[in-house]
Amino acid sequence: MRSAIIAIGALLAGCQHSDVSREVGARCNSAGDCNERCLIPSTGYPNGFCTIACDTRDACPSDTTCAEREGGICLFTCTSDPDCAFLGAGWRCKATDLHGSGTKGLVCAGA
Amino acid sequence: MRRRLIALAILAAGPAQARPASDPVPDEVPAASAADPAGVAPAPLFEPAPTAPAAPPLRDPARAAPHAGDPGDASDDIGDQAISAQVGLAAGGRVTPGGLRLTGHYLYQLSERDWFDGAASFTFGSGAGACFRDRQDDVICRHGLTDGGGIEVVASIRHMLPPRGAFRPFARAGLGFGLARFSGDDLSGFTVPLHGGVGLRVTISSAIAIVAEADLALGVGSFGRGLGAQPQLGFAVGAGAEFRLR
Repeated sequence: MRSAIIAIGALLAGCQHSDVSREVGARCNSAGDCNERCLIPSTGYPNGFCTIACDTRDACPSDTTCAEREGGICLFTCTSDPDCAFLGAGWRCKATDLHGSGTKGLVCAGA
Repeated sequence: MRRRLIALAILAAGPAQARPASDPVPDEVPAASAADPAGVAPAPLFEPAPTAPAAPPLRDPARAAPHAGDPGDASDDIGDQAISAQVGLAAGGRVTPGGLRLTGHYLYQLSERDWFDGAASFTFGSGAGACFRDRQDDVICRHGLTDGGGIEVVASIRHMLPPRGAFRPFARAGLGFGLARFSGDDLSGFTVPLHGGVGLRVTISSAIAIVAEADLALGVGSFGRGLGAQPQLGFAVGAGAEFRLR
């Protein structure tokens, strides 16, 4: 009985998995596709990108940082291009100014 | 002689006390005439021991409906037909709706302990959007426990269990057909869940009872927006009043 419950739980949990969310990372065409903000599809954000506004890194979810773009938005951090492959074609690991810190950091962004 | 008297006392008291509550026993039939189909009791061969009076006939609680006027039966009187209205909370998640749940039941007696239980339920949850497209363009929904709404009809069997004091427990199992809607995501689906549950019933008058029950639903749903078939898993608790019709 216990193993059956575990199996059902694993099945339900495994049906849906993603590294992205409505908050940061999901594809989008409009704000309604996201919790807060949609960066519509463009060369800067291939296939669109859901994100949230930020003032500091602490305002961003884990694995993201506050980049000096669009007035301060959360983007995924990276160390090299393959780290951004999960976002799809056109995404690269780029050095970008970090919002509010005056330093640069590596984030995933469009070409 | 003493051992014989003890044996006679056990024979006189034993069958009535050992009989399970479900055994049908004719109502209002005196013990002596029940054993005498001709209606003429033979002369007693001996006087039974005064310490072993014949036990009064037992009534099957589930069959007490025709005797609704007897207040002694009220605690177990479900009736041949009944309706009930319940309010409760449903917990869903992902693509199973949850929230406030209103349910109406119609009960129809099938056998001594089993009732057909037809129910219609309405679930009212949050309309917040929780679906998104991942980077592979697959739609993923992560609704909370009390998101979405739905309507469902369920056909089930309620099996009454032996009374425990003032409470009459029951178990229920059935199949449902429903529509689920998550307005924040413009997502709709058709669901087919299996239901299993347990409950308690307490009669408060000859025609009204209080019912509380818990329900577990497990099934599958077919949804739009490219989601396709999705598992359904929900849990609900509710309580309400049950009214005897006949």
